[in-house]
Amino acid sequence: MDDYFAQIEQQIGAAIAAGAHRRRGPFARVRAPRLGFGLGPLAIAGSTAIVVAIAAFVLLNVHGGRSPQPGGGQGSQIAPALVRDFRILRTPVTSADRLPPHFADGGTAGIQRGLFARDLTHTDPGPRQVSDVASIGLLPALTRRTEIPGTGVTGWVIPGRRGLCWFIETRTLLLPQGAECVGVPADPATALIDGPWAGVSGYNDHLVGFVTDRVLAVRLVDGHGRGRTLPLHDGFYVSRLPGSDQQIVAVTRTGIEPLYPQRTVSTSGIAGSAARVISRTSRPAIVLTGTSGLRAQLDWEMSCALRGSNATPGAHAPGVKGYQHHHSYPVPATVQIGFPTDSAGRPSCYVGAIATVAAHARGTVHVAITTH
Amino acid sequence: MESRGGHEERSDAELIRGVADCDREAFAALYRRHLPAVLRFLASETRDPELTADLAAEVFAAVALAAARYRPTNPTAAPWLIGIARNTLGRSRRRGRVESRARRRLGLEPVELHDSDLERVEAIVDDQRGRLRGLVAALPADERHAVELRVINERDYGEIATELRCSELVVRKRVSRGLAHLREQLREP
Repeated sequence: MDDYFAQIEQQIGAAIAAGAHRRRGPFARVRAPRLGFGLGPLAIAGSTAIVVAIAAFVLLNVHGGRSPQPGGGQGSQIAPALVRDFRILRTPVTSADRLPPHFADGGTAGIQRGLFARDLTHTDPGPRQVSDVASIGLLPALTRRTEIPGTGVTGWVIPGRRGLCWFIETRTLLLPQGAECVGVPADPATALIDGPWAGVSGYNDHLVGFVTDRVLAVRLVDGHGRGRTLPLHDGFYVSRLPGSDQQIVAVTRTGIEPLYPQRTVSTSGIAGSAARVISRTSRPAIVLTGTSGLRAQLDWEMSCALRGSNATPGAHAPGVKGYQHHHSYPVPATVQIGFPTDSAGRPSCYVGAIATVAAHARGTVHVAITTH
Repeated sequence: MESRGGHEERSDAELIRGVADCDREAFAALYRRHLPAVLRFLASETRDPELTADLAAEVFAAVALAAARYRPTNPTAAPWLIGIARNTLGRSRRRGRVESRARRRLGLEPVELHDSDLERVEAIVDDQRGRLRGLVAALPADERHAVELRVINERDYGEIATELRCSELVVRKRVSRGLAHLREQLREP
């Protein structure tokens, strides 16, 4: 069978031979896929931005874009297994890897104080959050930064003596996403990563994952195994939120392993919702509905621009705070979201929520964000 | 009818005239000649192989419709084709949907995309990166250095100026010139 481009050539050629291009007639219906994919901000960037993004990608890959910097010699302090398992940790540190000052407390202290820390209660087995981040012994001087080409996502990896934390920064949200902190892969003492993954983080209707070198490719597949390969960059991948019959899988030398969800979810077992702005007088809540008694994993995130910093949305202003919550609830459930307050009153926030149901569970779940 | 080989030796202007005169072989030759460049352009703008493939189909349908209006001003029709691609992309962005007007005019049926098609587009994008890699390396040393420090390492202009022992204005000019050179080179087919 001819490929897509050959079929297009044949169809247009046939239309030309028939003279269809020389006459005006009624339009036939053909599909018109949405262009509003989640990567819109980059897609609508100007040509300069594209050149910049491509140039960054090229030089980071070709020249390495990296030159040794004082502090790079501390590499031996990172858990050897991490260096072995994550390619990004084998690249020399450069000035581009420095955590910007707008990250709370330079990133590391913020993570250790729990600013980004997560309260994970997975319904499925998978990478588990380190409960005591301090035990990892983070080494902020050895932080690595990487831009995931074509996505507008920047990934940060802070290695440690007994694990690592990673988080993402996107152009569409006001602050870095919550850090995912995990132990050393395959280390019986920590055993916090028992697969080829190091976790997943969400933004809007996308997921970002971070995987080890064991992963040769990451694919978004449907129930029949059909799908597409997701670009993998320095261990990071970005995917649209999988649909109810889709799954993100890792292709490794030993076979295919699920990345997200950890097991195939039942029909309609995954749902997402987002509210861009919560007014200052509303009380937002996340409402789970569906099959009564079903247990759903709810992951929600909120970023808030405090009064005074609202004038510069998108900038990493000090008045921006982020919150994350991950917990499982029986359906139906209503989870009230507490607002941060500053001296001037309630801030405006962005809330996103995703609910998932384990494969063995039967039923459906829906998630909605309400304001009263 | 001419053989396909004959068509492949004809100029862009002759092929487009052939398209206007209902010669499907002329279209085939034109399509094969310029599809990679159109895909490269669309891929660099959308960064999405599926959108790129979908838009490319619309672009060539629009080319068929516009063939009769083509007035050759260059030895190559590449700028004209990229102009159509740019317009198609712009309309699609404004509408929030991939433009399909030209395909509807021609009565084209939907064509399913497969992984292999997307891989082909991605391969073309990779080629583009390789090309850019060469272009960056070919920049004059001062421009290349400034572009690397500013664009790649995202250093402040002031910081770069200190390192290079020149004024911020000079750094800005070098970065601007470097990016302009890259843009100019990338526009060439």
